[in-house]
Amino acid sequence: MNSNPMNDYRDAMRETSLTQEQRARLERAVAQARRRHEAGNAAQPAPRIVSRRTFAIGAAAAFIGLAGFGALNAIGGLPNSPAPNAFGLKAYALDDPTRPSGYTEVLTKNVLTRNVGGYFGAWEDEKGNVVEGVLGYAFRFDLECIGENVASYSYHIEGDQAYFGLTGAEGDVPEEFFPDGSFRAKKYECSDSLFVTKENQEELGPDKRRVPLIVLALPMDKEFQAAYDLACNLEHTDASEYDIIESGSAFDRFVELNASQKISESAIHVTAAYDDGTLETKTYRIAPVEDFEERYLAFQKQRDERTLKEWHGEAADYPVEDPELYTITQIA
Amino acid sequence: MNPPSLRSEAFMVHAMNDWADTVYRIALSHTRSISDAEDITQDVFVRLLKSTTSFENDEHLKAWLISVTLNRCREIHRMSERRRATPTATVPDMNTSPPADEYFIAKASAVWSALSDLPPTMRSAMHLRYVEGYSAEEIAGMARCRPSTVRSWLFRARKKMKASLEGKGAL
Repeated sequence: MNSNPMNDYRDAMRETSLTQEQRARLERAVAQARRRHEAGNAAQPAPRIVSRRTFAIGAAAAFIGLAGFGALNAIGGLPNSPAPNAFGLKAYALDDPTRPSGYTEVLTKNVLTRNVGGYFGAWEDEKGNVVEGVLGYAFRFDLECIGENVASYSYHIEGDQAYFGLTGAEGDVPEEFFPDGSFRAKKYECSDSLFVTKENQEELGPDKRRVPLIVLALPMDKEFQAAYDLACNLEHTDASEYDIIESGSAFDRFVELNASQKISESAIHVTAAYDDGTLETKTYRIAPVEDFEERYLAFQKQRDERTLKEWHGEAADYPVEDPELYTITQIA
Repeated sequence: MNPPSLRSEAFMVHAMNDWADTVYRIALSHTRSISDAEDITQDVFVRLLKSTTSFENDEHLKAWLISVTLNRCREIHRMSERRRATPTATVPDMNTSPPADEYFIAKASAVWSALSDLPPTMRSAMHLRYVEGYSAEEIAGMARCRPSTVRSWLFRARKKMKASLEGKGAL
């Protein structure tokens, strides 16, 4: 055995290769894909993968059916619903779907970015090519609504380079998770609108099969780009762990401040289609708290101190406080 | 309407000859399953066939293949977690292992076992660093994350592996 065990691993791995049978199967798979494509079928996604667009069309079909059911109900063929029509985004309405506009609810960092969310790397165009100078960010936002007599919800996000995304469902959309909780999504997997039936909503949520996201593209200005470059370039130096963490945190601050600014410039419109065929729309805005930067810096200081301790093998089993960084308000 | 053009056969032969083993090894390192590694290898090259990315050189092609491989590995990992399948054996199934893998297991079983205790992405980072020779920044580029994240993975992976190997008396 080598003195460095990774040398054994490296030596053994370098001897590992596809067998002749495996290579033949690989060549057959590629040839088969070529034939299918040339026959005009290859433009279709793999059968296992259901695109978000397909999901929306499926939901739309369900909506038409439910709308028809609502029309029958209105004619009087079925008993009337006992409760009046009402709905609200749960994050704002809490347990009262009739809650009027003008109130404010606080959202913590964990609510918006735990596990899935935050900076997720390069932004890609529809062909999967990296767009230089633009980074991606996602809020893991719970789009669940509560309501009475609602057949479906249509969500629309209004804002520059702001989208909805869905992730977390087995095989439905490609997901790129990393152990630190970040993920990657491609632009073409996002949309400025989302359609959800009552049935769909059962499986939509931060801890459910489909995790709804608000995905933002963040163009970097010179300072932002410089912070990004510094965080990356320190890898080639003998920088201390402290400097590595500090440069990463400086970059994080640009990311978080830009994301907070961008989300505050966006609005979420939710339209409920009731069983009787009527529609109602409410508009919400997520915005950073007034002292966002101070709160974020305090959080980051705590987190970095803990990271340094972990790197040095010191006990760091205390929790980092989950800061209240955002608010949600119904604006219309 | 004609479908978009595919990569030429000559290009695909070149790519498979030069990089199929690399893709397979990374997938094997990540998944620890020979059948999954083979599936991923096929999937990656089918994606290459259809991809419209322009490659500047062979290194660019290799980096693209590794990036797609890592993404596919993570998809497979998540799906297997959701299925709550029986945990993959710590070594490849000997019944289906080709001779090269038997050699691999015999020569590096202690390290393989220690690597198996790591989260898959840490395992891939270690593989890319020590087998493929990439820097943390290059790995970050392929895994689409910050270099400091990769550095952290490598730091923690080395530490965990050392503890694991010491516990097994392999050091």
